[in-house]
Amino acid sequence: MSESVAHALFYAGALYGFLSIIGKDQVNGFYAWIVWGFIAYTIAQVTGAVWCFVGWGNTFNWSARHLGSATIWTFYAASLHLKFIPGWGKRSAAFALAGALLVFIISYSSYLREMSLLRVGG
Amino acid sequence: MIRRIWNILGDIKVSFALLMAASATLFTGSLYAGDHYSLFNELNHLRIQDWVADHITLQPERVWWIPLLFIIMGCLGANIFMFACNRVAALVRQRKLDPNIRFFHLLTPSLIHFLFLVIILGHLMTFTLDRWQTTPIKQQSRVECGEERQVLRVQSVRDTFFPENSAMRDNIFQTRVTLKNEEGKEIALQFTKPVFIDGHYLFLDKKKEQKKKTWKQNLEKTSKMMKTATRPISI
Repeated sequence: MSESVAHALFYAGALYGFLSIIGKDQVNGFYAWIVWGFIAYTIAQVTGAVWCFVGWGNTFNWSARHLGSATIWTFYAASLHLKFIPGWGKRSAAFALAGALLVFIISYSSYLREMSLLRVGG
Repeated sequence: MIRRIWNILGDIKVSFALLMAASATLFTGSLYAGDHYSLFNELNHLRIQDWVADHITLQPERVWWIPLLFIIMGCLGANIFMFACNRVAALVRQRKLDPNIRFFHLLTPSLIHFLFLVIILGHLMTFTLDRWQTTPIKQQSRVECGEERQVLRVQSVRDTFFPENSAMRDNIFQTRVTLKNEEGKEIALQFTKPVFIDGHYLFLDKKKEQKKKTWKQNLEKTSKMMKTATRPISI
């Protein structure tokens, strides 16, 4: 559930980022959405790692799904650091948009793959 | 000179570049892992150095991104350590000017950075030190686990099913495997309930065996497997 909430917050962040780019919203209005999305996503990663351990004995699984989740986490971790780089703060709206595109591509490709893959072990 | 190098390597721009590089590498890896499921699934039960040594010469075009990912994450770990140390040192220097609440508020991001370092070091140790063994189990069979070949005897394998009025009827709800060690101590093993004994984690898993497959039918039977992880450290 935490991951779904995070996805929703990332999409909302992208929407406000888009409004910020076209000048219809305050410059950093999207930032709070991204921060809360990142917190929710981090909670999802940690609880997922605990579940992965009790189920399969690993805290990380070398599968497309887990690597995709790590891709999203590191991308947003990088985006959050942009605010603290002088002169780059304004570009973070574009990163919010790119992040939402990444979330869409990775999550939907995972769902499609999981629908067709023979699942072994749980 | 050393201080200058330390400050450059601990710069936030380097953190940003390394995080983006890690993201790009992980994304590339997710594409390879999606296309070659069996190849990368082996990595979940082998030490990373053994797996990479086996595959880097045979199929470098598929596994090149794993050493690159470890290099990037290593650099990121060093960068975060330097950045967090610089930040904590600056906060401690100006502590007299800040009230306690503000000091601890400002300290929180650095604590999160140190926590992240602990997590990636934990992952590194798990990837490089864990040893795995998967053993099929049947009633009254004998299982040897670990390098010291500790003997366990399977006393019983009992499945419980979902209730008859449930949409999931005829599906296994839980399996309880009772093991007995050489001292006669009973160990109960169930799905999602690992047991830690004598430095080993025991997990109950199942493996689907494809029995018959036609364009209409896809019948499968499952067999129980026990996985043993020897874990010098627990994360």
